[in-house]
Amino acid sequence: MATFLFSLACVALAFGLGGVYLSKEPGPTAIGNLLMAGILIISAILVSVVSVRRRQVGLARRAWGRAFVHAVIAAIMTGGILVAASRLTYEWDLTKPRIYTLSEFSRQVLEELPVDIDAVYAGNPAASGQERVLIERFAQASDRFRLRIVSPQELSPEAARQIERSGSQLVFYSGGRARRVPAITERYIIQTVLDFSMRANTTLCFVSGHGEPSLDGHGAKGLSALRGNLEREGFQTSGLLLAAQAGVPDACEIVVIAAPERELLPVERDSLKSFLSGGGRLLVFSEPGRPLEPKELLEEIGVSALDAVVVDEESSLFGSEAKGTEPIVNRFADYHPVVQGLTERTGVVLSGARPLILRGAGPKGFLYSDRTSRFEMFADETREGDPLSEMALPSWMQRGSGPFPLGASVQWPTDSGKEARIVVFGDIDFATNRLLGALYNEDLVMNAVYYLADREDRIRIRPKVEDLYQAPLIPEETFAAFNSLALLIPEMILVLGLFIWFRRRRL
Amino acid sequence: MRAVLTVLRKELTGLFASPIAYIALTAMALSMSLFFLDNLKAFNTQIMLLQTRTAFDQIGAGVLPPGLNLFEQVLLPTVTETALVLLAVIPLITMGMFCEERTRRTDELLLTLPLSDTQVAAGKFLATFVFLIAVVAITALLPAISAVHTGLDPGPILASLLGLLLLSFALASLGLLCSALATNQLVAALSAYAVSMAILDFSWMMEFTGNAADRVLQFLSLMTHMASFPRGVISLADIVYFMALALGGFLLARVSLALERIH
Repeated sequence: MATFLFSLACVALAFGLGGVYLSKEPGPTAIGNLLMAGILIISAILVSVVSVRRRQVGLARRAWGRAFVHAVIAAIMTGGILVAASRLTYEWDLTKPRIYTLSEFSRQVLEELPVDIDAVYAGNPAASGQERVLIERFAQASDRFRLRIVSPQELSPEAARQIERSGSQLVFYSGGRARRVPAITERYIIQTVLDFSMRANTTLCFVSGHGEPSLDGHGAKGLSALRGNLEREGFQTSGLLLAAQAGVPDACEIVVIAAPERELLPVERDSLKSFLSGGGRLLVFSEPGRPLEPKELLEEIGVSALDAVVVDEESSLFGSEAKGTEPIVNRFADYHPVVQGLTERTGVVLSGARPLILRGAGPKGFLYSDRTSRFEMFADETREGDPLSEMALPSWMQRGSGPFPLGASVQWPTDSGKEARIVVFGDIDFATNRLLGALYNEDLVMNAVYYLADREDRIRIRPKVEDLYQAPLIPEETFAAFNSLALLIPEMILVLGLFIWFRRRRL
Repeated sequence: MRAVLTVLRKELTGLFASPIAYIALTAMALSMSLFFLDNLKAFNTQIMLLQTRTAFDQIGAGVLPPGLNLFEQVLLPTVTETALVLLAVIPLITMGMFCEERTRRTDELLLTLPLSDTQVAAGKFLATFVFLIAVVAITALLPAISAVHTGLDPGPILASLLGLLLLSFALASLGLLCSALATNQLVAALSAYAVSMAILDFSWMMEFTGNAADRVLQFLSLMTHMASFPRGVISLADIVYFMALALGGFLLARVSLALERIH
């Protein structure tokens, strides 16, 4: 009888609690079940006690008594350990050594820090321990980075209130200037350090006057974010109205042609040609439907571009539905310095990119679309005939499927003794305000600039928020893991179980 | 010790000879893999959407909002879901450990052997724990491979697995206690479910209780003690909590065996 009542109580309790967990609030059925469970448990206990009393005599009663004492001791021991456990505060944080290891980029910046930076960190130490560990890593990496930690009580009431709202605050002081770090992540801290430390030593001149995106433009198509990044990392930027100049000014060490909407004038092309023959450096961005400039010069060295848009309906990094014309590209030529550190897990996102055509041994492609990509000719109603046959595409490109080169470089020695270098991208959108901060776009653009500036030693991947930008498993691996581990192993276990079960039945 | 090992060997042989062990292993391997891959896919999609949005808006580009990280979006839900599967599977494994002896009338033989109650109970508990180590090891395959392939921090993954192992020990102890007390396997399984669900999460009761009781209820909840493992934090309090439950189950099961001798 007691067992029957107890079983009913268990069923009522399981369904009552299940109802509460599933609906997140106790409804009438759940409460009814819980009440019923309580009543049934009490009834079962009473029935058990009565039946035990009837049966117990002499030795058995003493054994029951001893068992009861043991049960009470066991319960007290367990309770005592639980009470003691509630007072234990010791913890092991297994994430600390890895999450708070500074990236190579940050370490290099800190090692070469040309100024002293005083960092003042104010915050509740108990609530922001992890932030403190991160900032302390910076202080450990450079003698010129000094850290002072102040508790909110040491601050003015207004500052204390601000910290209470924001959680914590980190302010850098250097050379009479002060700057607040917007968020305490490695990325923002190192950007603020760069703001203080870098001195402009290379000038980039952005050719203007042909409908190029504005260097100061803060809209989605502007280049102000790129400008900010360049200046933060020690480059000076300026516009260059080439048509109004006798040639490329001496101050311009790198000239940037940012996808002009109209063709350059012959005189501008000549200026660029003489700039390159003197060992100049050129960064070219292009877009479908726009001229690839300087056209003759690029064709001479084996670089042209198809007036088409690369379409990749399968996102190669995330395995989710991506816009076909905004491919996430993660195929890099690992020998090339521009893409050093970029791997199949560290993709860049392009938008409306055009495939480049590389001929001869000169141009070296370093960025390629996925194998599954294709291209669609850019709509141009004024053009007659078949543009594909006119362009005499390389045979591998005539197949119409990827990989297509989307970034390439050419370099050659000049009479000046300095090497001329050109980097060409089949897209500009990835460097605009809209997409510069996405995935590893910023690293690709900045590393191309470092390559052109002869600063390959500074080609690094900039710190990201922990390592969360990386896909834990790329789709191919997910698929393989699903087939091997998620399906095969459970199946093998089940087959083994069936085999043993049937074998035992026959014995 | 030799006596305990003998019981342990006998129980493990019995466990691996029964289909329920393989069904449990299959269920765990399958469910953990599916949960992990499903959460991973959702996380990847969220990251890509966020990347595109922040890059477009230029608001906090490059900074992920709090909570959108691998541990909270992938490991935490996977561990929580796997813990619930463990809760469903473990009573099926433990229900027969003591009850089956009674059903088959082998309990008399067991109790007349030159073995103490402690040795019998320890052998059965250890056999269950060894089996659960195999179960958790199987569930670890996918996260481990993902860590090896991608260079992800293995710390939180190891901590999550330790949490699952401790949770399964605690649940198994409660299941074994129910098996030791109950007269048949169905009652043992039902009571194990009821007890496990009762201490799984007391947060719903906190609406009706005061602050002091809240703290006690929160401390007694199983899920409270599972929360920090997926974040890579191993708390001594959590370890002691789970071990205390396991020890309590063992001591009470031993008392139940002593009572068995009376009948």
